[in-house]
Amino acid sequence: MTEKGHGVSPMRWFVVALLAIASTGALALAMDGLLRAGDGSGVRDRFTAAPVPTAAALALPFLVAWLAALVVRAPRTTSGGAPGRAAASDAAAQTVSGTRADKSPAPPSGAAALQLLAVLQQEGRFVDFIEEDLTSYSDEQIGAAVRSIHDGCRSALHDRLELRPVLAAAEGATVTVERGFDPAAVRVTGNVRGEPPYRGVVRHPGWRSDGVKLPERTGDGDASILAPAEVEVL
Amino acid sequence: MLACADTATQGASLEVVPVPQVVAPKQVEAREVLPSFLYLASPEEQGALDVPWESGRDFAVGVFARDRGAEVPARLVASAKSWLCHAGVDRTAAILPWGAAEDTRRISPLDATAAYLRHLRDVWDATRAHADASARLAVQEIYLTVPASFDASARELTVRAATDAGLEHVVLLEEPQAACYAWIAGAGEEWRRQVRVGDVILVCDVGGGTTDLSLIAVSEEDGALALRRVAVGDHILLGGDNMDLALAYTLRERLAQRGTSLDDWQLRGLVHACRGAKERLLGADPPERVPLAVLGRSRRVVGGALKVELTRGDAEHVLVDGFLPRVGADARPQRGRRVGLQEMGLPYAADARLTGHLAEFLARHADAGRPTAILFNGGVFNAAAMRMRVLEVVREWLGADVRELTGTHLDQAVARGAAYHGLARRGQGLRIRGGAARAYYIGVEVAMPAVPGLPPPMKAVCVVPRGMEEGTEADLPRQEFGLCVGEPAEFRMFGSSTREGDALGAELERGNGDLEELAPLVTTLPWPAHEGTIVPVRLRVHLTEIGTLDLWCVARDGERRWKLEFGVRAPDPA
Repeated sequence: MTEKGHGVSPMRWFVVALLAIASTGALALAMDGLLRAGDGSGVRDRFTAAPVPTAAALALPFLVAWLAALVVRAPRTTSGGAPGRAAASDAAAQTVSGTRADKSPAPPSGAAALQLLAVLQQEGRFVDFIEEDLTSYSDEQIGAAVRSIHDGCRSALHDRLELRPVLAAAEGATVTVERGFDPAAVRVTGNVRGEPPYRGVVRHPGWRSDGVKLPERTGDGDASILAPAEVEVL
Repeated sequence: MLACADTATQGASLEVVPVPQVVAPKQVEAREVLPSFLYLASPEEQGALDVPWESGRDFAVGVFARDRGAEVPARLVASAKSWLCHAGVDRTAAILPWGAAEDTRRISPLDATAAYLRHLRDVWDATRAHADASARLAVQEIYLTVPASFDASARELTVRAATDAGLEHVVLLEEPQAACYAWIAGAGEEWRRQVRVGDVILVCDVGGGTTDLSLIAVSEEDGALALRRVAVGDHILLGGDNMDLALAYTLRERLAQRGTSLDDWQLRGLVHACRGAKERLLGADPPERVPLAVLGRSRRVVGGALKVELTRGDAEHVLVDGFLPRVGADARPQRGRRVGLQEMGLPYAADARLTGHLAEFLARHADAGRPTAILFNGGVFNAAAMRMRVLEVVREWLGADVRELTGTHLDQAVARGAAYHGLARRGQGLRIRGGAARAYYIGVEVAMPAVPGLPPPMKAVCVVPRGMEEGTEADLPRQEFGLCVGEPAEFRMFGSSTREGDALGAELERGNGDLEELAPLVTTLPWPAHEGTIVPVRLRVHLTEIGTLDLWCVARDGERRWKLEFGVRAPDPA
């Protein structure tokens, strides 16, 4: 039910995982859409040449990043464009983790990340999708399946994270980045010179999640099972 | 669904309480609704179904029970509510899952209902009361909603289930009435402007598996608007789940023509997909078509995916025209043909035309008034096209305008309305008066010389006139019965939701088509040292405040009395 902080903020993993999912799903959808929309054979040719490897290649960095985050367990960084609020909630989370640690042994490392993955698999077949070799399927076939996978993953995430953009401004809007901004929350690119404030155009408003509600685990079960094997008795 | 209102604060607000439940093995998550499904676990699964407040559970209720149970039907208990009002079976015997093999674990409809209530009690105690004994659910005022179609024995069993779950202070509330309360609570003072004296509100409540109809009349008392429930319908086993199935079967047929056959697992996925598509296709601003995919069962989620498409035309044809066809006011639902060896399973509606059931209900209760407004309830009516069709059809039958009362949350109204009703009983809001929804009769043999081969004729004596107020206690004026001490006595019991004007003690000839036989009332008179003697008794009726019917046998001296309990109806020999 509550965030089980134990040293490393699980939120970090979720954001990375989320990016991976969002981009993979969106990419596949976009490709499907492009192919349908494009009457000209030029578009089709480009994608039919190697549609699936392209998708996989683009999704892979995100997955790798996410797995790296799991393994490295990098120290927590302050997240978000509202530092005061974020700091307060972090402090609260830390207090919670302190009292919890006294009561019960810490769950196996990465348990929360595995749990989110299990939820995504259960409700959106995420692991099956990422692990499937898509090379031999037509884009139409992939497109049809992705719609359903996307629906499931999306509602699974929305039910458990409080997703919102880091910046409220729309893409394309001009904003000012003030002095003392959090580099983890805002990435300034391009013609950056001198000291802040910087004026620039929002290319991506970012994503953040201020809360995580994962199912509560009962018992001392094995968190490594993401999906049970199914054996049908005939 | 669990909703609560804090009575300590003035102008208290209603709140829906999230219900933690097992959603996957060893995973508990709070959801808004606790689906009424119970899964009887195998020994290996024990420990995986624990909830934070209880370990070693050998069953699950809610989401996981529903999903897991769909995979293993022989362990799934569903529709316990409908079993609870099925007079043809012993509802206290371990008969569910229905049709499961003799050697498998089974439980009774009563125990299943108690398990749901116990879960809700524990949720409340764990999330709201914590360690505070004075805040436990058992000490709260509890309003349990039941279908209006529940007869006296089903209500009695519901209260018994609550008692088994450790909940003593329960009051039963009919679901359509609760929906009406939710509407009043939602509209605030505005509701008095939305209806007028003389209005009759048709509450059309289509749940997942059942349809519940009621008429509520608006009148004036002491210068203020008053509401009275004037008619209730039968228990119709037809609802939103049927609609999802109908869509899924339509698509399965289409796939079969393409040479693709679906297994049960894929069909369930399709039903699920259809549920979502239904609301989009029949909602406001609908798309022309919704693509659906049935994902592969194996790891080949993309490779095994089947693509189908549902169009708006499909949804309108299958759902609106299929379930709500334009029928005449004289339409009547077709009854299932009585087959010689009929299984005693749930009496599912044989006719899927809801409008046919509605026409019959309105015709039966024409004397209660013609509806001037409709209040919809149930997720099915999130689809605007469904509401429009019902309004259209009823308007056409009556040749008059019928308004739609709006402003309720179609999925939450019943729970919220029940909480509001709790406030209403404390004087913070309006109360719908109901009284007995049915008249009740007991069967009495007519004294006459015995004729071989001819059972003595039976007459029905009215013990509860329709509309009898809750809290009424009355003695049956004339009849006296001789009961044999130590031997079980049985009274045949009949009910009617249509007969009006029969006073207490009125006698009817049996064979009257209006009467429906219910579970009999049975008692054994325990009176040590008087075994075998015949005691003359009179019947005393008590329609309780909590919504149940108590019948007592009172000895002539008035000192001893025995309560009659609902038993099991013997299978109809006809």
